[in-house]
Amino acid sequence: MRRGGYWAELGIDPTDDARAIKRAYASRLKQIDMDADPDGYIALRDARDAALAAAEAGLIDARGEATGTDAAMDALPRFDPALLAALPPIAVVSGFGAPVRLPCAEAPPDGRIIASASAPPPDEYPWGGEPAMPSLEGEATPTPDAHRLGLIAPAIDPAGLAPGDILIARRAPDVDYQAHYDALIAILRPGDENQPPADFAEQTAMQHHFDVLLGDPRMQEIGFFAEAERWFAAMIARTAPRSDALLERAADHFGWSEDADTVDQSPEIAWNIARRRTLRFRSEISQLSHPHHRIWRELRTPANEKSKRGDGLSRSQVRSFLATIRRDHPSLEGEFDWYRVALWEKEMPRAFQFGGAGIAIYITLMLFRVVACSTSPTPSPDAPPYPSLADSSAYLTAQEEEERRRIARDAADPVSHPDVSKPSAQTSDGSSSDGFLLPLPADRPARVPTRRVQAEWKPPVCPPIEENPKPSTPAKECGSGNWFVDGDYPESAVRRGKQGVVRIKATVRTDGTLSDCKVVESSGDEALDSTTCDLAVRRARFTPARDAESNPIEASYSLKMTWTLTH
Amino acid sequence: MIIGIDLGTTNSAVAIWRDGKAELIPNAQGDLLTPSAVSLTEDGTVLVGIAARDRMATHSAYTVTAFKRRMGTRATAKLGRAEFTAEDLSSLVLRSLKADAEAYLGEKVTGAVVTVPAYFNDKQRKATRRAGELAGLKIERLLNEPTAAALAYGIQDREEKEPFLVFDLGGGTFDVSIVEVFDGIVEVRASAGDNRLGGEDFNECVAAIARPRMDPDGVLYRLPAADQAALLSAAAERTRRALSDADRAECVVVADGQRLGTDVTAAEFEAAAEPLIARLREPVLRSLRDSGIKVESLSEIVLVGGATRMPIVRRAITRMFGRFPNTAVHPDHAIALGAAVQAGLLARDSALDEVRLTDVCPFTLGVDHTEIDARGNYHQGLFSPIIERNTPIPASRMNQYRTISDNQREVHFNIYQGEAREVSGNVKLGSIRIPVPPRPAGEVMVDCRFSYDTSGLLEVDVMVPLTGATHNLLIADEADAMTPAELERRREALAKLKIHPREDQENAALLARATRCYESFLGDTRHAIGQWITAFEAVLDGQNPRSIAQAREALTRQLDALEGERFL
Repeated sequence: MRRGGYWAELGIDPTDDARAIKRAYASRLKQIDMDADPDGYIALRDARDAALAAAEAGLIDARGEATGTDAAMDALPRFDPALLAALPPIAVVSGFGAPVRLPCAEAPPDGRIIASASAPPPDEYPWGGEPAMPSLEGEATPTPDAHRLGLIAPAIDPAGLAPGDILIARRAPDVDYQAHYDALIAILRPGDENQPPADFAEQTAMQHHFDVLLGDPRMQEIGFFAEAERWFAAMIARTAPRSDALLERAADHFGWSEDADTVDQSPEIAWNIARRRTLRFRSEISQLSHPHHRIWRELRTPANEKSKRGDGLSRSQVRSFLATIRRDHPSLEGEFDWYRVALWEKEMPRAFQFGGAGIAIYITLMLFRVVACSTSPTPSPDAPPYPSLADSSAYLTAQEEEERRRIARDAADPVSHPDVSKPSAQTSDGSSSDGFLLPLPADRPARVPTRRVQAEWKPPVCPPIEENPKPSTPAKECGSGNWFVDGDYPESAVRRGKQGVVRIKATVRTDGTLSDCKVVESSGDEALDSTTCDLAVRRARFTPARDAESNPIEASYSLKMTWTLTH
Repeated sequence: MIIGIDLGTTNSAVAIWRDGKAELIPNAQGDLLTPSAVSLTEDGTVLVGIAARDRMATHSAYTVTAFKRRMGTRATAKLGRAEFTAEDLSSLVLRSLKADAEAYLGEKVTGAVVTVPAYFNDKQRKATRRAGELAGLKIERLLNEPTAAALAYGIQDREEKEPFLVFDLGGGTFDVSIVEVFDGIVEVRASAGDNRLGGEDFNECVAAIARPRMDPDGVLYRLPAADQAALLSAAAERTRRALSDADRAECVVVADGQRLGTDVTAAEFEAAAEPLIARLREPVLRSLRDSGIKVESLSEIVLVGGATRMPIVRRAITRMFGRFPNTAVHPDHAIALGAAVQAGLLARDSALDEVRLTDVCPFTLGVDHTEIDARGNYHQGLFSPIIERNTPIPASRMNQYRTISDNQREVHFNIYQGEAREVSGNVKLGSIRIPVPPRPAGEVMVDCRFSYDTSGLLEVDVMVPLTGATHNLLIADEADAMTPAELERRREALAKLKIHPREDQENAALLARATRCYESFLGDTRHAIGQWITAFEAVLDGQNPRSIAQAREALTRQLDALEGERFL
């Protein structure tokens, strides 16, 4: 490039007149020999392109008007589906073959207009030779300018048509493309952030609207087609996974295939191609016959801390499958259960790593627990908080500790720990009998958990009412008889460090619920008392006591509740 | 004397720039177009042109057509017992055209400008160049076919033209170019195309419709496969041309003593050719996108190539662009005339003083590379473009690359041409290895510069800034490297082939046509034709030029009355 940059190379002053730039380039080009001096040509061409770009970008002080080309290009309408309704459709019927439609910028006059694609007369050919197509007889040959579809020719008897003639006639619009476009947008909801996948009805509707829009005769025009392709690509890419139903159809129509995957593809189309591949892969692997189907199903099964890895699958298999998914179809990873994936990827709990020793200890503890269970009939009401796998040994120890604590409690306080196995006294009269059972867990001290994770209260399931109930039975608790969980400990009492023993008495109604709860012995704290009665009434469920004739009767119920704080 | 040659799939032509204009040169039969067909006669002479095309129906084992589609490959065709590659066959056609030109002009022809489809890749272009060398012609320049047509169209009236689109649908290839003319500069803005789309494919459509209907008993299957294909494609070609003028046409094949025929309607043809029409859209879209020109701002659609005469193609173009195309240039002649204009430019003819032509390279050129994505995965075999397509040539562009492993010793560049994102879909042109100093991964930068000139020669310059070493590679055809000695040997072998003497070519062509007619008719007509042939051969033996000329005219008239004028 010459000193002074590209304007010096062109030999003109900076200007924004594209014509002047081109003219300067032309005169310079005639002075150099392209073949002998390729670098000179490259420099000149780069200078011209840069100058044109600068002129178009408006970086030059305006001294000339913008050329017709630039203005024309600015004024060209961009793809606006609203134009679908604005332009009047014109039907173009050929002499034979399928009718064809063309858009028309201005409305032609009413009546049938015929134009034929005939060639200009022979003397217009540069070097002689015969014309390409015969012209229709008795027809005014259109001038080259008139071929822009604004043709007007005298009406001609349709019987005199020659093959290849194009007949332009007005036709009433019969398809409201705007409505279909609006409907498609309404279903796709591109502005919506969280989109659920479309259900079957919506999918069918989307496909129908899409097919109608693709059948728009304007699609045959190449500029419209290009804009429509760009718009649909962007729309489908942005509204996935809602637009998955449209993807196959659009890809087939516009030719978005992996073979046509070129370096300069627009990112939306590339994304759509990748998504189509992923959807295909997904449908293939969901089939039972696919070799990797088992791994796929395994990884999608929900898991929690009690799950184990599936059988028949090796870790290396699953890992390589996961690597493939992550590299080629990363969006599918969201369908796997994270816990299950972690199970397969991480190491197993330490306890099992110790092999036999760990198993032996574990079995001993379980036996211990079983033994303890037989004396203390109900296990802990709430599951312990979720441990992480790394803490599993700590979990076992905690459970073991709890067992020991309970056993110690039971041993230490036999009075407050009524023996459930003692049969309750049964009376034959139906009034205020002592047919009750002391539920054990009432004695277990409610412990404020050290972690905030608390088990939920699960209401007990009462057994169904028998047809012929046995006579003279006492009221029986439903479920394990645990009415209290850790979270019930009143906050106020926790804060003040209040503990104590509460005795309540209540009546078991014939429908199995408690009523008339009275605090017989207070613990000293108002909150503890009221909570005990509250929760007992709300949660306790019994099968009612029956008299000698097997009718349900009321019974009384006493409860001693020990509230203890441990840290 | 430099001539311009249009080497087409179906027909070829030759033209010269003389007296301030381009004119076509007639061949020995007086036709401006010479069919691209080669045939071997019983006495070992080579027939080129319409005689060979007529012999396709009768001696299909000794004739071959449409070999342009196999240029750039190593596929061979058997003519009798001899095998020829596509380059050899093209060189025979070029030789025949050269002889026609020398006979017409009265002087020796030294060089030629030969046209190739714009979308021909590097291998195919080199094969065309070799064909010229084998024919003893110096190929001054390879010119893209739509550019040639644009030249012919653009210098007609020397006025400024807004960008126009050249739509070239020939016998075997489809090309699109967007060209702008201002101040005598003919500038190509963008080129695109499809190398496997042409009139031949439409013939196959017709054959596919007609064959099951006309031959339900499978009579054709009794013939050898080459004969079947030859008969069907000739019949389909005739039918397709007839469908350009009528609503229905008959597709007739005479095989094994039977006349098989069926009617084909234009509507059926249109429906069957629908996928081919759909393929016309992609190159147009691509060229519009690359040049940045909106379809509304195109001033003209210029139709070139015989297949654009088909009404379905014209309708499709009208639909695509929303306007009627421009038929101002003769679709069969424009390319040869444009080649002649370029020949005149090269000869610095004073009439073309103010005219210049700049072209673009239609394919992307680049190397393969490996990318690392966000997750640390390596993706190998991806294409990294260095010269984007539709860059004006001559062009020179550079790109920088890094090493990917620690202590990497060498960097391999494989050079590809094409558009696919993975290099497996592109055409490999060559490769170069560069030693690099050992460093941690990514620390060694390598500059790779591509220089592409007007004759389509690619030069690769690689530099390692760390060491300052430079390496250079001139792309020679890797797969098909014929050494100059081999080329010379091949040329001599072809030169030894006897071409049918010029004076006899007319007679040979007429005899071939008569033989073909004999085989296409039955019964009394066939008998009559047989008698005419015998009579004509008797006159030929007499060797009286005047009576031969008269007999020739008489026979031609009789055959024209029988089957209509022969077409080109």
